[in-house]
Amino acid sequence: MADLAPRSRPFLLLLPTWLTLGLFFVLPLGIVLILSFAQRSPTGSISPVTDWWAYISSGKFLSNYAQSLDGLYLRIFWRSLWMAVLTTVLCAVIAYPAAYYLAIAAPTRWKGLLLALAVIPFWTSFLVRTYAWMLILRTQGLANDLLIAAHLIKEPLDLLYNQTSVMIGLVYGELPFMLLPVYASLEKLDRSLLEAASDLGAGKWSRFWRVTLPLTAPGLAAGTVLVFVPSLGQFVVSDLLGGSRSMLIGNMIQNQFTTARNQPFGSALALELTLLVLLLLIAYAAYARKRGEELL
Amino acid sequence: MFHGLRLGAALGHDDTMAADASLNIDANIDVDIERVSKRFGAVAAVDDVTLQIRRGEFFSLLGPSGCGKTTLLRMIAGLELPTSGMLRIDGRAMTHEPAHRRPVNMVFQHYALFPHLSVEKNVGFGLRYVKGDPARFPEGIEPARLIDEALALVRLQGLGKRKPHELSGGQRQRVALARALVLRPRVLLLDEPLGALDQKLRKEMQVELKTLQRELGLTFVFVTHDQEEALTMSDRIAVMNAGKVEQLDEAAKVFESPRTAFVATFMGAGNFFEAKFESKSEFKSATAHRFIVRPEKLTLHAQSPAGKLGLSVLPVTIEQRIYQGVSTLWNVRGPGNEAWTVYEQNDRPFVGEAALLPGAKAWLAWDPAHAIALHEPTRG
Amino acid sequence: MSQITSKGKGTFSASHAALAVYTGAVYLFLYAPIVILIVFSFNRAKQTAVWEGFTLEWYAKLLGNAEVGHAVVNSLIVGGLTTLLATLIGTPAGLALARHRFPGETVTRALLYLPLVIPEIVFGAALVTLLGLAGFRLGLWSVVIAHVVFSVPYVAIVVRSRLAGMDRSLEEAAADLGASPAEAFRRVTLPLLMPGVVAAGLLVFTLSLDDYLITSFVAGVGATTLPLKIYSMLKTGVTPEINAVSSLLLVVTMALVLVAQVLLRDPTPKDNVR
Repeated sequence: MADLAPRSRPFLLLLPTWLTLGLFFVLPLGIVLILSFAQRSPTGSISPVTDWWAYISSGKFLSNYAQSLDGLYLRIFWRSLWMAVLTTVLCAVIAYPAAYYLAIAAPTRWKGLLLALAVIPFWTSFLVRTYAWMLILRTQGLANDLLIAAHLIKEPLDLLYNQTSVMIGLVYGELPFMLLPVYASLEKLDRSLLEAASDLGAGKWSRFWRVTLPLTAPGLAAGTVLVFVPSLGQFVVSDLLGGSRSMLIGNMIQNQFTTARNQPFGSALALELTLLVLLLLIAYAAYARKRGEELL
Repeated sequence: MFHGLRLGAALGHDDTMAADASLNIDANIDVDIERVSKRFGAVAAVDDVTLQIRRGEFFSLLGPSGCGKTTLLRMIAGLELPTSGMLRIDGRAMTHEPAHRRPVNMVFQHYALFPHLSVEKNVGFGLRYVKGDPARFPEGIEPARLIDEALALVRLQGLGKRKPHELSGGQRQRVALARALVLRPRVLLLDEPLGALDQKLRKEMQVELKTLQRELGLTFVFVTHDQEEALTMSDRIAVMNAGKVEQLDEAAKVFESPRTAFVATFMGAGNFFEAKFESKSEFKSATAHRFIVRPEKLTLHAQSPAGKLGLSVLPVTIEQRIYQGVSTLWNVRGPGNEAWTVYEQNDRPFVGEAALLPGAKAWLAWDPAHAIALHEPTRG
Repeated sequence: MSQITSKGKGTFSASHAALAVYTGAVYLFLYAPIVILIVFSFNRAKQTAVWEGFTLEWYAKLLGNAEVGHAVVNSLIVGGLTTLLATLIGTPAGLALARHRFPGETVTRALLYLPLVIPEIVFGAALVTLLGLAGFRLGLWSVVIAHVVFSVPYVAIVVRSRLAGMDRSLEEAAADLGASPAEAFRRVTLPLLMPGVVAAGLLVFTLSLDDYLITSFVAGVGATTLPLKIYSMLKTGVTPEINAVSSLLLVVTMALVLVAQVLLRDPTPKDNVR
């Protein structure tokens, strides 16, 4: 290492990463971008363009995007969007008090354990965790068995394969991704600011709304990004826990690339999804920058 | 220096307290602490403290870190609740009252300014909670005007729109002060507010705070570990050690006649010796007492000054001489190998200076009037 | 939860007790399904959720299931190769980001964060399209490529934040004591960095072991990994065998994550990586 010229050293260190990501991440996305303007041939491959001028001027290159505005697809987009929003809101509402307890009120000797327990689902198989809910919610599952045993119902309920079960699965899967950033922001919160608020006359709730919440908004924003993005592109949860009427964009895209064999249309859908995500990220980046200027 | 006389007048509370005299409460006492203790597990941070803070005085809690001074202050603020004991503020029992319902406000050690709020919003933060309190705001002035007045009081006019991070340390300190003062507290609590400032700014702020306190006629309770700072500013000082008040006295008295070895050491007087009073009187027993003599009351002599009447004299060996510009510090050893510190102003040429080099024999002398008997038994 | 202590504040108790109960409920929500899954993997009952007694039958059956065995081997191969390659590629990148200023830094950072935020399904579809156009035969290698792509950013970010939390003056001290830059790196930086690299490796191995979605796009015939196998099994119906294999996967990943957590504990990385 010592022999490398200092100026070229970072480039050599970064070269493998650039190559890997350039070749197998940026390039595929570029191809998808190009494909989204192409047409599917009847055999399922891509039909060649003979007359470029006519193809572009006729607006045919946008036909995939036009098709995605069709009522059926728009409905699926809309459903994905509001389910992602609802998931994010539910995760925030559920996670915040728990994160508050962990960061501010939990006894010190329990804190390490509680935190480790919050981190573990972060990394464990999403698939298996989703499957666990199938086990609970299916007709012969634990929930129905318990309800019948308690004589609350006589016949098993259809708890699985609907939007509620998808919602449960989404919130369950994404909750740790909200919990941790909110916890981190609460942990960073200067306790003397809370004391100052009390000292200046603020009661518990007033203190929360005027000091705690505004100062932990960055954690909520980060959690929102971490929850919203994967919820929007969700495939596994809706595929396993959802019925035909709870199909999401993710399932639609997967379908176009596999069963339907319409890569151009799938590409257009994938790009639209990416665009939605990027818009949110840009908004987040702008927020973070504004915040950073204020705080630093 | 300060332009807040209107606010000052409002802060000089009218004497509605006179009516309470019938309740056998001294209207001149703002904070009444009675046998208050605070334990964290097995450790007593504050151990059975009783003291009273008078209306309008500058009161300091002085002691080393961990002595319980901050905990005591936080109990007055309501940020900690006592494990046992009674606490009255302005004649009302406040032992278990939460912080947001106490007529006191605090200037926090690191200011605790809300980073997401501008200076004026910081200063105005508490106004909505006291607005309906006619005792504190009889005239019902506009909040904006109160904020302006408070900012003028601490000489921060025109900085209201800034965010805390855009201010210097000294300015932040003033915002914290304005934020507390604007609420017209009965007592202002200050938790080492000058600790984060550099030496020069610190000295300036000491004077400014003192002036402010006098002009507003407001009770200040000031926590510090700096004895010089406490002496400069305070009317009375409570010196704390290990959760207890070692001595509560007027500033000069704490310095001039420390009651215990701890106070004496903490106030910078390090020379102890034991002796017996020669004449018995009703106050002075013939048993051995510990005495202290402040280093600056001692003189060093190359020849024995025993001829001079009334001086106490001790033969010593000089160990070290440290020249400090305006003064010289000597470390010497007495006949029992005990260490003495001598602190001499360099205002006259030393007698036989060449003789007073390390290793030389010399005589230590002091006026017995400067030897102060400590109010504690001799050691073993 | 009788006595709740916290630094500084002494004014609560009842509301904090309520919060403690609530937090307990949230943890129950997080862990009950996992515990139920593991408990059922020992349940003799084949169809219902009723407890019919303890058995190791389903685990024994797993041992005899050649397809599952094959999937496990595939997963281990992919996980091992991914960990090795991603660590080799990502560690220098993290080093460069933490210790050098260079033009294109912002772009590089964006490039590293992009795979973490672009929906997995988009990446999976895009990669399989590229590989298809390039005539690359799908198999284990295509899975490894996909996994390396999403793992490199994790390694780079963990290594970078580990180095960022490390006092630069340690390297300067080494130089002051006469070590050449190369020696300083070998004798000071690398030993301090190693726990971070190992932890990143463990996390990446976990991610690779767990990934279903991206793998489902790029796995060719005969390249079925364990999540793919589980998925196809549970598409045909819930069986006790799935409980057993899922429990095993869970326990293994939890153990790996715990080890990684311990390794990463000091200094703690500031990034919340996903």
